[in-house]
Amino acid sequence: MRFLFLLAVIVSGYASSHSLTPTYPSLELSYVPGVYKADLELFNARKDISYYEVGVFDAEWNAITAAITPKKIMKVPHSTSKKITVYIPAASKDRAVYICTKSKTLFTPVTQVTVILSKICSKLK
Amino acid sequence: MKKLILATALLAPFALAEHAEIIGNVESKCSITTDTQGVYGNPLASKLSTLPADGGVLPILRYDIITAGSYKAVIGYPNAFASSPDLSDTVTWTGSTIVGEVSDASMSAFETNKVEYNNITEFPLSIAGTAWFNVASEANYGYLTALPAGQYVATVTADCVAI
Repeated sequence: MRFLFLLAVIVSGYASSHSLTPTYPSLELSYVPGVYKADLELFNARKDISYYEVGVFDAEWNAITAAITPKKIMKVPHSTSKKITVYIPAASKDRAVYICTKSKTLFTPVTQVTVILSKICSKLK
Repeated sequence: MKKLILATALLAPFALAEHAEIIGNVESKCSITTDTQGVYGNPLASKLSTLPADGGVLPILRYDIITAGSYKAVIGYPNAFASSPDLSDTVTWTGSTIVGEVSDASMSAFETNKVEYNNITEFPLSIAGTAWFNVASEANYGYLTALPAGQYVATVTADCVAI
């Protein structure tokens, strides 16, 4: 059983990384009239990171502040996934191009180091 | 009794086959893995460097690409300290990002087709597989001025953007 679990973890490609699916999410009407939503899933296998920021951007990488995410910065513990629903008003629907998750670091290193911030962006269909 | 055993033996494979489904989905995605966190060496009083020749450790990033041509990697070497002691002089930053190990020899095209601007390097992830990227970073303080003692932290940005 343990072997199967280990094999599943290795085969799934989730060994130690930050990933976001799907690559090309689509916008659908939400239960609120005039508001669209997109569903994504974030997986955190980075031991050094527990927090991620979600953002929505246009083609020129300007933040679309009207977009609503459950929490701008959310806790995603190591080896867990989190479903994210992003709500975008109809007025901003055509401007929105990218939905990104970016790692946020809180720990304080004890020596001269480089910290790696990972960001993955899906592109709206 | 023998007939019963024979019937059981004949039917057993069919019974097992009904419960042997394995279902899996492979989705287009990009995964970023921190393979090695970089460390700055301090070969001169005025210099911090991640180059092994300077006593540092290169940060190494791993990108897993499931579907070719869906993403680009955008990697930035540091151009400021995220945390440091008070600095009264200017810091000159240099660096580079190159393709290290690859799972497919044709991924050498990533290096050929990369685009560099400021501290950023963009690699089109046009081939599926796994690629490792090595990031070199160097900070020189003032004109051979000694860096104040303390803790220095700089950030490498590793982005994977759907195209």
